[in-house]
Amino acid sequence: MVEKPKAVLVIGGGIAGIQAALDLGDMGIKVHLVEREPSIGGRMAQLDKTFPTNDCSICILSPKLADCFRHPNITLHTISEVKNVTGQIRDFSVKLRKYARFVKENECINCGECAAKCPVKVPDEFDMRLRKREAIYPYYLQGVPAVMTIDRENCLYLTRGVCRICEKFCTINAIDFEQKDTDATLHVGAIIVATGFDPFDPSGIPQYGYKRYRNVITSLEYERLICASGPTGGHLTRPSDKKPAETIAFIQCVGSRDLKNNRYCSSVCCMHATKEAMLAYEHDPKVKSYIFYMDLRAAGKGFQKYVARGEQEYNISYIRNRVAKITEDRNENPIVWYEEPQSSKTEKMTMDLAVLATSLMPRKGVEELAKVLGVELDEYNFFKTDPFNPLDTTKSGIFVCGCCREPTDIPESVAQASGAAERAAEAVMR
Amino acid sequence: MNEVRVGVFVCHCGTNIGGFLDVPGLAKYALSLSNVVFAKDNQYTCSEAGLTEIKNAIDEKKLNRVVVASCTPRTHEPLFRSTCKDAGLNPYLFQFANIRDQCSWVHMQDRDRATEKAKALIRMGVARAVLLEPLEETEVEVNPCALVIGGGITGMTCALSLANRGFEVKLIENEDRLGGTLNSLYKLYPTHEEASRLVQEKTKEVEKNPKIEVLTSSEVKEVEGFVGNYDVTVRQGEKERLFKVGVIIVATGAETLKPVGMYGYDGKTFVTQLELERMLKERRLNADTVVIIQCVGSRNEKRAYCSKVCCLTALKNAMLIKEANPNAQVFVLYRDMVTQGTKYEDYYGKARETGITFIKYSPERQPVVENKSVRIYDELLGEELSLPYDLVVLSTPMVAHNDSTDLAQKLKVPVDENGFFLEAHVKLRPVDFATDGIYVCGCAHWPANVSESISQAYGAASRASIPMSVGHVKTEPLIPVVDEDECSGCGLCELTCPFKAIQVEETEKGRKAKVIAASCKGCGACGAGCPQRAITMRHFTNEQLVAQVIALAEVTP
Amino acid sequence: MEEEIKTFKDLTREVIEKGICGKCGGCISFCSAGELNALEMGKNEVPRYINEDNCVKCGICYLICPQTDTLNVELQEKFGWKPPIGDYQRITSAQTTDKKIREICTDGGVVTSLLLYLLDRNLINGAIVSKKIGRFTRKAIVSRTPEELIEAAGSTFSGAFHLEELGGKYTTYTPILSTVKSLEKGYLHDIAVVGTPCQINAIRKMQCLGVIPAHLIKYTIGLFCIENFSFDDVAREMLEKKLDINLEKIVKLNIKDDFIISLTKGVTIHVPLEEIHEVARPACFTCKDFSNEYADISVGGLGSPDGYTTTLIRTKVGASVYEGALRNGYIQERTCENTEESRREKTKMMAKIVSFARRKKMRAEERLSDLAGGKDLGGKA
Repeated sequence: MVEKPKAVLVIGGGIAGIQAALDLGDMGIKVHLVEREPSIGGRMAQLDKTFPTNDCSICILSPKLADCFRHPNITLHTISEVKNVTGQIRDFSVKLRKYARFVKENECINCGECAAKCPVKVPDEFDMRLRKREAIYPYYLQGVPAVMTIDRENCLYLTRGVCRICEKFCTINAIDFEQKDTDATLHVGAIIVATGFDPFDPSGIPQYGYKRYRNVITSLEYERLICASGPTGGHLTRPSDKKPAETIAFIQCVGSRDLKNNRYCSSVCCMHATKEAMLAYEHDPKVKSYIFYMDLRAAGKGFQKYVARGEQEYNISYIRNRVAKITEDRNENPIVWYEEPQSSKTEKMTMDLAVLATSLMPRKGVEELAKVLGVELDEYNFFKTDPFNPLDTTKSGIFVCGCCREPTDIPESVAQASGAAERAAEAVMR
Repeated sequence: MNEVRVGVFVCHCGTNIGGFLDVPGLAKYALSLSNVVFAKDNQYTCSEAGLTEIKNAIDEKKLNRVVVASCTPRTHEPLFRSTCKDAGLNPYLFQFANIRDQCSWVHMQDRDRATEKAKALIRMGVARAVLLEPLEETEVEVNPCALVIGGGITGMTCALSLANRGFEVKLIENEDRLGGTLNSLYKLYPTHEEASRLVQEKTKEVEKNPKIEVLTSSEVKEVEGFVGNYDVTVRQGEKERLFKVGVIIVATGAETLKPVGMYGYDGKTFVTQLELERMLKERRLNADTVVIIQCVGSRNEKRAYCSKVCCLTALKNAMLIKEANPNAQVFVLYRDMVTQGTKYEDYYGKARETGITFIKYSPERQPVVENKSVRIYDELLGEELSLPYDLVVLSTPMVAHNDSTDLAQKLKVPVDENGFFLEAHVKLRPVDFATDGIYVCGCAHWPANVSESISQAYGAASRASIPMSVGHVKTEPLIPVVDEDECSGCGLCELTCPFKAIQVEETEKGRKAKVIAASCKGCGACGAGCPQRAITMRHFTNEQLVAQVIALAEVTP
Repeated sequence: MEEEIKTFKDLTREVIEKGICGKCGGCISFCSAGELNALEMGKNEVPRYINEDNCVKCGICYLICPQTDTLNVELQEKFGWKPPIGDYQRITSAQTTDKKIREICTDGGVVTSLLLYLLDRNLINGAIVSKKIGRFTRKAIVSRTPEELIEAAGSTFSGAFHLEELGGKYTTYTPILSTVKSLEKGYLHDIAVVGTPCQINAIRKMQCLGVIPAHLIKYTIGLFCIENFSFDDVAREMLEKKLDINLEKIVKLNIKDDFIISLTKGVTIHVPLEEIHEVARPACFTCKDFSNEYADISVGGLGSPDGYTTTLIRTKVGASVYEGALRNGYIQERTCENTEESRREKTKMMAKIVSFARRKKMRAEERLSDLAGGKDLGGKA
């Protein structure tokens, strides 16, 4: 008699994947939580504060990270990817590849001696390439598992056979260049996809000057700048001259509601722009912010009040207009060109900093994953669902939640994650 | 070993604390306090590395009290408590000193004085820690039966899911049939499938399911008990039935505001969206010019929220009007078009293509009905328009049911200022109540469309299934202890308690107060009010609190 | 079986002891930037171990050294190197528009002007240049202000000296790379470096590997270089006797087609390069790079009339700097009567550069094959 597998695979270790894993684990169901990056945490770990309460993001995330790590029913597979899936609901066979970290996960104490000595400097992805990290590094400080990782593409030993300085300075012998990528097979009854999003690259909209003008940045870059654990220690300074930014423009719908790029609405940007403006004001009450929007979408619980507070107490002006272009003056101050809503005249405003609210998009690699899973994507490459079976993919036994389904905020992602856990539990307990 | 050995961990919390207080100095100060045998500072005490340090210190330094001076117990107390437990230390020998919310965050401009204040907070924490006593949690069994209040699409989805999981479900519905709001709807966006089809499908499944007992025309009369052991009295007509359930899920939905007194609403020429849906369903629509006004009675001072679903409902009905009568002129007067995400933004695009006219208005210049037209200032054109109408549709917000506060009181759960049920934490626990064992989903929580309601229904089912799956829950031992020798049986505590967790009973020694541990929330009202001082609040004894006050006053600045 | 990594020991054997160490300081710069602190500049001005136990045998110093045959293919691919003198976008002849700079600069003051532009626009917050601190002595400094930059302007051939003062020995060469290591601590994060081909080469190799401290260097301005000179007492005496001049009277030194000595009272002496080879640094004879093939912009006097600098714009980065400086009026280009003449002039400039480049390459190949055949260069400065 074939024993029906009861475990569930969760693909993606962001807030949605974590919540789904915790719910299932708490129900007594075994969970394999797979994460591509060296630690779990996802995009939420990159945010400074979260609307509508302005809670410190990592502060409310880290208890969940710790819970995942120590949960008796959850097995964490970080730096791993799903390579192959066969079978059907209640009887899936999953091939998982765990890439070599070249660091012994059970030994490393995260002391940082190795990174202090590593001679390589490459742009740090978690900090949105705003600073450099070494080739042996912690993915982010509060990450779980709390161990270092060696970046195989930039490590001098792994690419050229020289160096090995980290090994020589590690006091507990936790570096292991002999580690190999390993494959494992998991037998699970259901799968939950929670792979999250990537931000739109505004180089695709040249008239906004991203990369050409140093003081035009994206919202995720802004989050890292204003975050206390980010590259500037939370000081909102202009990239060009490190002077404080006192007039800030937030430009909405960059890459979304856009026939040339993405037609859909990115859902969360009206709210996060308000939040970001509030944070700037909290850091410096001299700050004046302008949010250039099309339709203000603040429909969630407490959202409308949040926006009203922004307008009344945080020196934010909302200007209903889609910014036509951004130019620059001699001092690298971005100049925002727009049509004044009342007079219909073309106006321009000089700012210290311009923040582009870049659209949420499906992650790189999502097409491959969909093929591996045998599920369909919609025309935007989000996982396809039926509005009235919102957490089911097109394949029985595979469920979905969070931003890989559609751009959505944290409260909804968490509710969907619990919902997907329930769908998975229904599947494996039949 | 009776020696009290306190370990203090002071957290930098990145720069949240470290940027404003002298954290290393605080650790040094802590070490100087009596009974403190170990003190250190760390970057993020809640990180794996920090927690491991705590565990190691408990082991190596034989600590029997732990004080963490960092952020807030609201989010982190359970984590540190369980860390102590993992290291073999009773979790109630852990003390939190909040030097972030209560110090570094509110005194960012004065590092020295803030550090002095933090020292006081730590001093107070240590003083209390010394007097803490180990407490044991108790376990209560959980009845694997769920009560779902509300038989709409949300309640039905939740009930079906739990039944599929193998749990018994009691599904209570106020109306005489299942279906809720969807019974009043014609078609659903974005697919335009018929609402009745979806309702019938779900109703059939529910009625077929042997694990679900349905009670229509019913309401909840009384709720007693605590998580895992709720006693719910349900009234159905003349009959009353008592159900013993483990968890309760609120899926009571919401209703649509009737715009009485607004825009000349009369239910005939001026109708709500729901009334329009009925007209469309019954093919009674006889209008060539329809003006739809959004945000009627919402996003104003009285109701300062956006009801989320009205824009999409307006788009849907506008398109259905055009479908029924292609020559009809339809105007949608809106403030912001709320069509978020992939499917709904596409839907908006489709609506625009059918020739519906969209006019943006601002709250300062509301539409005015006069001379059989709607006068409106078009923000984008910069001109005032006069729109003749055959029918005016007023999009009103969803509002909480009249009796939502009533139900909330019976369940002892809170509602927000708009009457919607208030969840435990808007991001971390969006479908849980702070009260254990009770959950909420759908429009009872906040205006939601069918798709979201279904997601939330599954979400609530998941959360509710956890205590039922485990079979038991632990209850916090932070409850009062009655000294029966002192107790005079006056009953003041029973009157005071909001949770019915302390009651006076006959005993051999006379009438004495008895605590019902599992219902108790540890609020302390009984202890504060007892005229005989017969009640001691465990973990918050007078000695512990007085010691904190003395510690505070010990060193005068 | 793993190949043995080449370490400083191999560098000592293959480069230093063979006498071809150019003393660029790259190895020491890297080793001290990472606080490995195994190397230092020795008494006879070649790198050596401070403490051999500190050496972790990472092998990176060997890879960085411009005199080892490593990373060549990678460098060529990365920069789209084309024969005969590397890749470039265009060649111009330009000069500064600033009167003050024009008075003190060697040729056209283009280097100082480009650096001023970068500093003014906050594209860099420091530049490594060499500053004159004595008649024949210069030292590498980090300039952070326009004033410091202008102070440092002027011929780099009029003498330079090593960071650690060594008494009577002087060279025209400024080993700048040791200055780079301490920059991050001074909160510099984007700098420009002006250097000779060997120095720029070492920097580019560091950038290929992605190692500190080269991540700070955003712009490289390379000088044309046929060779550098060592003016120790013996050399000075020889030169004074040969040329019948008093070196005290030197106002300015330059190299273009030949060695140009400007004395007080407006006297200028031209000395053919062959005649002063004996005071040239021996390591220079094994170097193949005349026109600084991997810099963002390469500059020199050769090919331009007096008061103008020949400017070879190589990379996109170099082009953006040059165009920016031009557009904002820091420099101006030499104009010609018509496009025909302009083309002729450019062709002439190019021809000169290619010719010198060829000469230097051939000289190096000859010297290197001599070495391989066992000839000793003496292993000293």
